[in-house]
Amino acid sequence: MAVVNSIEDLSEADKVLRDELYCIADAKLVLAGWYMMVLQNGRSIADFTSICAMMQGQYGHARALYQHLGRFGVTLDEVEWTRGAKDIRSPKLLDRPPQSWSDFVATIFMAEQAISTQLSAYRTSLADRTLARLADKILKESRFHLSYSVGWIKALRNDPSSAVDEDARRRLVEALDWWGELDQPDVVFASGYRDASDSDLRERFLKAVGETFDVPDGIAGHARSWQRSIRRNGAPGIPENLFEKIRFKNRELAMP
Amino acid sequence: MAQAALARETTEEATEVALQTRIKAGATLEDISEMTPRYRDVLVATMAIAADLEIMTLPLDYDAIAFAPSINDRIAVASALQDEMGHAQVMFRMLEDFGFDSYHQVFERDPKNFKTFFLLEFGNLSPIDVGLGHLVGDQAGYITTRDLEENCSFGPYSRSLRKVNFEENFHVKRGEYMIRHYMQQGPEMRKRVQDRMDFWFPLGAEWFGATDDVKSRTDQLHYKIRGSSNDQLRQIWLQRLVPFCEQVGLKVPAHFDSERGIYVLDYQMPILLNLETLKWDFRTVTWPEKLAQWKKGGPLKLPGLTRMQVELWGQDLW
Amino acid sequence: MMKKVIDRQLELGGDKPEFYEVFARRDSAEPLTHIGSVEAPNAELAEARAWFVYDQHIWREMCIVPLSAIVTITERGSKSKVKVV
Repeated sequence: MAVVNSIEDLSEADKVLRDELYCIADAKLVLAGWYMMVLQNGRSIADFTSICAMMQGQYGHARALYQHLGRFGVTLDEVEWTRGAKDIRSPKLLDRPPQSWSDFVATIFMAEQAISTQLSAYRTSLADRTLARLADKILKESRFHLSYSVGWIKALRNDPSSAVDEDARRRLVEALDWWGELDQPDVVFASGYRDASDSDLRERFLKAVGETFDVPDGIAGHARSWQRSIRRNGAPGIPENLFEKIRFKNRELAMP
Repeated sequence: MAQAALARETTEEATEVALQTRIKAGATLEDISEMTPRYRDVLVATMAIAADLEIMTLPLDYDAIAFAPSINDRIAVASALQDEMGHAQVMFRMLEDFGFDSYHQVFERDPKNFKTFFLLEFGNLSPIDVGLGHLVGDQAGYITTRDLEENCSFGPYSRSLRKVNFEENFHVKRGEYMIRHYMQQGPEMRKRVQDRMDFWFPLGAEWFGATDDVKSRTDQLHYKIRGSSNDQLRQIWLQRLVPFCEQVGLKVPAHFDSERGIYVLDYQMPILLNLETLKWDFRTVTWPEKLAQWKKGGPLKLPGLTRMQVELWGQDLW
Repeated sequence: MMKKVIDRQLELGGDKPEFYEVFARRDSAEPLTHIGSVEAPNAELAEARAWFVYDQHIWREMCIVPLSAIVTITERGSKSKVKVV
């Protein structure tokens, strides 16, 4: 596939693919920021180690996806420096800060599960073999992130008064905002980049969540103004104060 | 009664002598049951300090992760911190077998009672400090733990340091790579690095503790918990650091004394850091004055360790 | 600022920590070796922690065993059932 310098040169399918991969990469970028922000709240030395590892894992995956986006004209300069809070396309799920350790655990479970579900549909892509291999590698590495959150959920449930199930219910509604308006045409699926449609992936996600949490019937979020390019309802972008915390600083000191 | 006490004392002394003879002959201890109380105390004190030093890197590296300039740099610092937390985990796990409760040690103990070193008690100001921290601080730490790995007469501790040293060596290399890069970025950047090196160098030199003429931890050497004295370890550190600095164009207050064939500091330890200006005063003071400054600690120690023991959520995060 | 309140029974697995011993090898020719130990209240968390703490190599094989399941033979009566390293 040729590298292009301008979005205008892209086919319709590539434009939509570019948007979706940007959303997935940004989801990982902001999730990595979550691990960074919560690190010191860890509840054992092994949590400090694990959270550091998951942070690196997510940043590494984000970087690999951004590099892949290079073929659509995306540069690391744009990714790391020229964008502002309004340009970040992470899921709405990650906007609201965790309110407690159990809310944190419930949220990372939903986020890891949602991102992995979406990526799973690229694993068999014949249209882009490099992307397929990348998706497969990321999924394999994410397995331990899921064990971590599931292990914590089980531990927290040992306490009958734990709020983890309640937290998960609230976060599930926020997570479903990622698959907000399924009536819109799904060009990425139709053009063979993904092997499952967005509505199938939403079902796959709910099924995966259902193995750990009760999923109430008819949990659908309300699609009012969902935009596929950002996979969100409402205005684009993440809260300014979240962006300020996770953005990169001291540019002149970046290592080559 | 007196006779019984005397008999007990004689037995204890005999066990002590037997242990020392075994160690002198190069034996390695594998189990607590082989230790005398005195050996055990010296070993546990050494391991407990090492564990505290590892855990102190959490507050120290946290800011460095947050102000990192790029995805790559953030991954690099997080990776180094992950290593340090892994080391802390191994060390506190080992202390569990000596009756320590690591949960209490990390989350309940008064931050004032953590035994950290002055070098780890100042916040990093920019990625330049991250590079210097690796170059000066991890280098000093690596030299200390390499000595323990090679010499420690308690086998499990020595073996546990294989992983530690394997990883610390990467941190030192990363520091060299960073500082070499920054020193190639023009006069303004070189000055920034030099300014911070002026702060870091004496911290690194005093990492190894008091000079041998005032203190040599005889018990640690006696029991072969470690193999080299403070001054011997400091010499290794100077041998590695000073030529590197000369090569990249950084000035440090130390030089090679060709007559004695060793590296020497250009000043006489101990010296004091002015905690307001963060500048060193190179006039020699007394060791009790220096010990008082160490005991008081740097500005990061108490807030940093307190942060590790509390949780912040919701609006306190963003 | 709220001091962390950690329920040891629930989060750490009991009053006394629950340990899992970690075994791994880099390739099939190497023997499976005890490489360390992690504390966790359940196997899922132990699995993740073992993977993240002992990541100094890319392991070909890794497994964990609850310390409580280990029967000591030569170390009977010793304070630690399995040496940390």
